Amino acid sequence: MSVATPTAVTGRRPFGTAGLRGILRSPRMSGSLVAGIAMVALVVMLSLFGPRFVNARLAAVGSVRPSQPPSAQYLLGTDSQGRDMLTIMVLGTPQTLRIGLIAGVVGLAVGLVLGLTSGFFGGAVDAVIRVLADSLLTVPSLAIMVVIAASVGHMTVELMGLTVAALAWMHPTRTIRSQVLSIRERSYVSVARANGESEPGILFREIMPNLVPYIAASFVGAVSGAILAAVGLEAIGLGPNDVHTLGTTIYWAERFSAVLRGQWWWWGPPIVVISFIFVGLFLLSAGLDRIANPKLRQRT
Amino acid sequence: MSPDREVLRVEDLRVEYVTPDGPIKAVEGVSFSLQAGQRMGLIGESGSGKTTLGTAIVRLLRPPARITSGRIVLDGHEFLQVGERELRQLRMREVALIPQAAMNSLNPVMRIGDQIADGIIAHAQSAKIPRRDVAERVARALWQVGLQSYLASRYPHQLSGGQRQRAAMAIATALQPKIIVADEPTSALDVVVQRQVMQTLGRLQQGLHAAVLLIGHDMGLVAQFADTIGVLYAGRLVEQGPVEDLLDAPRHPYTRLLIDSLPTLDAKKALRGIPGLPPSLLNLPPGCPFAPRCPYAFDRCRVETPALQPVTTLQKAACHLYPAHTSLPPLPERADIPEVVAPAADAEVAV
Amino acid sequence: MPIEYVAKRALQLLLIVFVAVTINFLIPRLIPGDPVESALQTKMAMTGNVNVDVQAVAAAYRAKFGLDKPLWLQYVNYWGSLLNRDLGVSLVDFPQPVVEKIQSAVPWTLALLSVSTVISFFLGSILGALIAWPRAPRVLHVLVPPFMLLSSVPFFLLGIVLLFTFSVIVPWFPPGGGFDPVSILRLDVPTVLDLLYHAILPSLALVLGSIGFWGLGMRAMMVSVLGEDHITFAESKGLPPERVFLWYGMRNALLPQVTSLAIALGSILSGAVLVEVIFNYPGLGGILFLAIAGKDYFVIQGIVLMLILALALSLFVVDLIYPLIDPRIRYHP
Repeated sequence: MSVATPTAVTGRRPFGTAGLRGILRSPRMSGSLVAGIAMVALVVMLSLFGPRFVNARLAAVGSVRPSQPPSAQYLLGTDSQGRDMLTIMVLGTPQTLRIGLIAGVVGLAVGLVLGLTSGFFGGAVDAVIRVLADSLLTVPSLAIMVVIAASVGHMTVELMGLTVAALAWMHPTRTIRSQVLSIRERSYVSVARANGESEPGILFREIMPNLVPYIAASFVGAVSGAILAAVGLEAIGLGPNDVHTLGTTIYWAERFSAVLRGQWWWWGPPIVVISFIFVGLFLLSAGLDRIANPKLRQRT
Repeated sequence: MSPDREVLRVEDLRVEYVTPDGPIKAVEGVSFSLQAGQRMGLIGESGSGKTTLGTAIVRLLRPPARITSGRIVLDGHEFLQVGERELRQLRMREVALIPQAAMNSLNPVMRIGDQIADGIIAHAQSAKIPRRDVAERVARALWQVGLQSYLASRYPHQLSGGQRQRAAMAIATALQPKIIVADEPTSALDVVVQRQVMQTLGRLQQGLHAAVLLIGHDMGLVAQFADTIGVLYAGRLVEQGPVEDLLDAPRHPYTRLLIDSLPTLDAKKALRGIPGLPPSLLNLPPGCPFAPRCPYAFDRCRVETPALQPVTTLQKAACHLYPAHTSLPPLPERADIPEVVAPAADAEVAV
Repeated sequence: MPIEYVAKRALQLLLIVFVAVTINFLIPRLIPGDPVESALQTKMAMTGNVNVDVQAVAAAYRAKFGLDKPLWLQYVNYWGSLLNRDLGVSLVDFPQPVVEKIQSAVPWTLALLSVSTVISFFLGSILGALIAWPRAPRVLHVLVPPFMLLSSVPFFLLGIVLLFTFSVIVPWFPPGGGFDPVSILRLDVPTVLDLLYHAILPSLALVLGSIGFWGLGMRAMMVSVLGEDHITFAESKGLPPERVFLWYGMRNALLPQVTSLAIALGSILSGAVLVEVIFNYPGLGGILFLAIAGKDYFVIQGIVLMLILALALSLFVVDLIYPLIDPRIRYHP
């Protein structure tokens, strides 16, 4: 019995000839994907290595002269409470990313489990999961998160991540469920079943590998949504009170009327970084969508 | 039969699909003509280019498909050269398209009557139809296909499959065109409804004295309807002739094998197919496109592409067996049929 | 409109409300820590009154609000007071009823949200559809990158930028608020103009933030609709291209677009709340901000409930609109 690999059937290797060059030239790579990866990688690098190069004490209240516009000494200026903005940005960005990551991973994990269960087993289990997910999708997520966050006494980064994750699992669940349902009905699953493979075997060997692009796309979406929700919550005052994040910086700027006072160096950098992260994630997810859905690759 | 005038002439039409892997030649130099009131059938398997040909004739090809050369003369008009406005005017009034799978071709959010009416209204000025006559014409269009006028206020999803197909016919022929191009009008229907629809088409054709180009893959269905048949293979017309002559004595090997593969009720015999697969239109082998699967193939077939030439007064075939022979020799033994080559990877395009 | 459809949708509405109210009830009671106590402590800190025994006062509050009774009884009481339009009282502005606080804020949010959404939905959809149409002027395609950029930036961040640019750098618009603080609100032209004047920047933030989403979404739907067979058939009739675009194209693409409106309403609402915070707009967002700062727990809960109800109702309305535009739902075959 011959093995049907893409190479054997078409006589061409899936990613072209030479390794990396081949991958970069393959039709699956699009401008958006590359740009998205680059942007996200940049922010991740900043978050991983930045904190080693700044003096964390400059981020404490009253450590430097307050309300200074950017200068050679304070590259991003200082806020009304005497904190160095550059330090805050370098320390705050990784915290925001952490929240997004925690929420994204937890949300996706829950979504994966629920989506697989719901799609594969169907019946009452599916109905319950579906009703729960749909009802939570229709309530304004900010509202529920506000209630959760306001009830928590002392908010930390991890709790923030979990709060956001509570409303991040529905979309991945739905996406994965619908993919499982459509893959289930495809012929190679029936062939596997006819060959006598067990149900969990089918689940892992036939369905999961095909879910990978959707899982990746859902993850990016979940992280993006999580950061959005987290920044929103932080901006109205429900953020972690022990560390700096991009959103809490905006909150303090709001509290001290930095916008009206023209202290653009206080709220400007967080906005730029947040937008950068979002645009990067957006491009990344558009690129991943194209891989998952080859029809999108052809420009009409 | 008095010589009717020619309403459609297709000369050396070529259509290709532009793909990243190269051009796919879906239609390669097809020529034929239709007289007024004539019924012509075009038969081919999937991938033969028949739908592309039908769509090209009415100039409704979408990118990446494009007409690369050829000439279409529609009732005297150089159809490939006319401008936008004239093209729109010629549509529906001169040539109508009856689509496959009416459920997809009917606008789901518009009532049937409105879909008939907006075509009429669009031509009202040039066809000199006063507004008040529109409703009457809608009713007449429905009656022509055997549908009752109350269906005009219904939506497509409220009709049955056969009704929808007939509604599509009513929409297309509301202005009594001279040429009807019917692209597999029955393929999505069950046999009983198919017969109904074909009968309606027949009556419609007679009532309008229109020329009909019926495109399909079902030899039996097409043969029952048409007067003349053209056989398409790999984008080329390989045989053409009156239906009785073609069925009794096909001149092209492909036609012969096609007819032989039809199950009959008279004699019990083993089902025969045609070995092999249609060629890749991206990398056509040199010579006759049917050569790899042809039981009669000889050396010349793999080198030189045969042209469509008359074999009898009314029948034409594109085969190197002619004019040396006058008809097909008996089929050689099965052992002579050569090994078939698997097709190279193709871009996914429906021709 | 089929009566079963309306009934089914109404039932869904009630179900959502029920689930949401229950969640709203359970969450604070499930999380360790006592909101009442922390609110009181905040208040004590703010007023400088440190001599009071917080525990005793908190216990008194709890008894008064029935927070010491068993859970199921609290739940029943909760529903009871909800149906009585009693959402508790504000801990910060004691004893102002929460309902009163919210009532004055709702019309502001409603007006801001509905006007902005309607404008951005229709403008965005039309632009998006035109971008997808091969016959429209290609210059429209330059809108695509800004649409993508705008749709990835959250509304309230746009709001900050707008506020800064058009209120501080060039003082064309007022720096926040819903109306001129020294004026008396009457129903006359200057008041209305003043209201509009104050509403322009916040609603611009909402419009710009969402127009990209509608535009890109509509464009995607149109591309898919334009590839369908009924467009080919319509063209084969020789119909004028505008008619094909509007009645065969847009009309069909509008259906999934309305569905995505329904799905996006939740996040639009959340975004609007945040925009109000930035602009100090006296809607639910403005009140929420103050309540969170003061840990005014019942007000927070009341606003959240209001947001959920508002959304559920809007979804219901959108669901009712849907059959009007899709005959396949209006008439069952």
